[in-house]
Amino acid sequence: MRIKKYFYHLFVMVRKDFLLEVRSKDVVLPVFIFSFLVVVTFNFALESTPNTANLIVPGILWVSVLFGAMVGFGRMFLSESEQGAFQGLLTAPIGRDVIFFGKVISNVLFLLLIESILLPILVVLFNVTLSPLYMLYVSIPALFGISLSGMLFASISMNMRAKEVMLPILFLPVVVPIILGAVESTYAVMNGDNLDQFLKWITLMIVFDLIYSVLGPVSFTMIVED
Amino acid sequence: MLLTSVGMYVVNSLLEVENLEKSYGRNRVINNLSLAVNSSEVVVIRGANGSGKTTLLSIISSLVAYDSGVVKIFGKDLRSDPHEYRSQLAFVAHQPFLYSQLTVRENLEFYAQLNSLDDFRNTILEKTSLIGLSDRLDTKVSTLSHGYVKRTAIARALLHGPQLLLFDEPESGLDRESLGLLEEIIDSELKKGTSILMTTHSQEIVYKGVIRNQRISKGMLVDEN
Repeated sequence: MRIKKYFYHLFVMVRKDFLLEVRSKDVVLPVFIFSFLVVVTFNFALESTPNTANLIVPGILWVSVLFGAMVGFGRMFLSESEQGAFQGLLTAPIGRDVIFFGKVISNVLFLLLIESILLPILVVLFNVTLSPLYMLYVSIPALFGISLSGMLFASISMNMRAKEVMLPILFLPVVVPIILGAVESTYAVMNGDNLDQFLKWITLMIVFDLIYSVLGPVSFTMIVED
Repeated sequence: MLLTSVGMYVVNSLLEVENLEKSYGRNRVINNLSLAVNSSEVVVIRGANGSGKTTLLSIISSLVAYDSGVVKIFGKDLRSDPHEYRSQLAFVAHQPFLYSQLTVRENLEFYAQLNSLDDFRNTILEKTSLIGLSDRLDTKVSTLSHGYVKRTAIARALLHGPQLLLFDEPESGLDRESLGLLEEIIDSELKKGTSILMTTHSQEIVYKGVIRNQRISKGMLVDEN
């Protein structure tokens, strides 16, 4: 019963974020435009040939998603900071972890949507082939890792004066294992590497996600109550 | 009422605050404060700006963590049983705790669902009709006047039938008609056994019935009656 209630509250939180996104367009559109511009810039900056495309596309994909996600983290709390809505959540009879995981799940779904538009653009611009199913296996642990750590550091830097500077300084060094795992597993998908190689990087990302699934809500609770 | 070990009945307070302490850095804002609020009681805490009124309500509403002391509602401790504790109260603060991009109905449905209310659609219709919001249900909060935003905030607070209602300076920004409506709501909530704890810095307050006055100064309570 308690677990059912927990997931119901998570669903209510995520649905609210989607409703707010439909109305305000605060997150998906600016993040997509930013990520798209990163991809286009790399397309002009790097001379891609049929031989090099498979080497550079995984890096371009995940750097553009990562930088776009950083733009989105702060904006995920924008509607919450207006009219004290965040305080309203804190007085509701739900755990602080529900608020945290609600934001993480919303962010993962937003990023998944953005990535699903970016991938065909990359395929056309760099003339590569990508298996959508295998990319889903890579994207889910990668986007969870980015969102779990990102939401934690976004909430830490939320009340800092130099939050625009502090978020990348705190977040980028921590998210290195996820980017490494995402790039290497995407490379394995594109180049048809053996399954062991692919699973090794997926496992690394899942371990990271598990660590931050514990660290994230505990730290978030301490931050919002202080 | 509780039966004690020596066979005496004692009145059990709805809200119990004991030896509460809170500091921001070196600045002690709540200083060894104790307060009890009984069922169907209106307690008004008066004090100058910076005396600790809002901090006290923020602690009781679980928005701000306290350094030491005990805060309980019906014996449910804020620290050991926070979910049960929070389900017993509602806070109407300066900010309305609403999403400006959502309609009144969407905001109320969201908070009703967070409070796990079963028949929330009917509850929303009932509360908004009581508070004169029925014709604004599908209006975006961002387009409402200040008075109607405050009404929506009050409707949000009443949704789950809290035992304790916290009001932080409820008179601010309300016209005479809204103040009259708020007084009616307080009356009707008192009849249901709800307690009201409100703060104000003005001499006039929204409720003209029986109240218990307390003055707060430098984070300490001083009895006025």
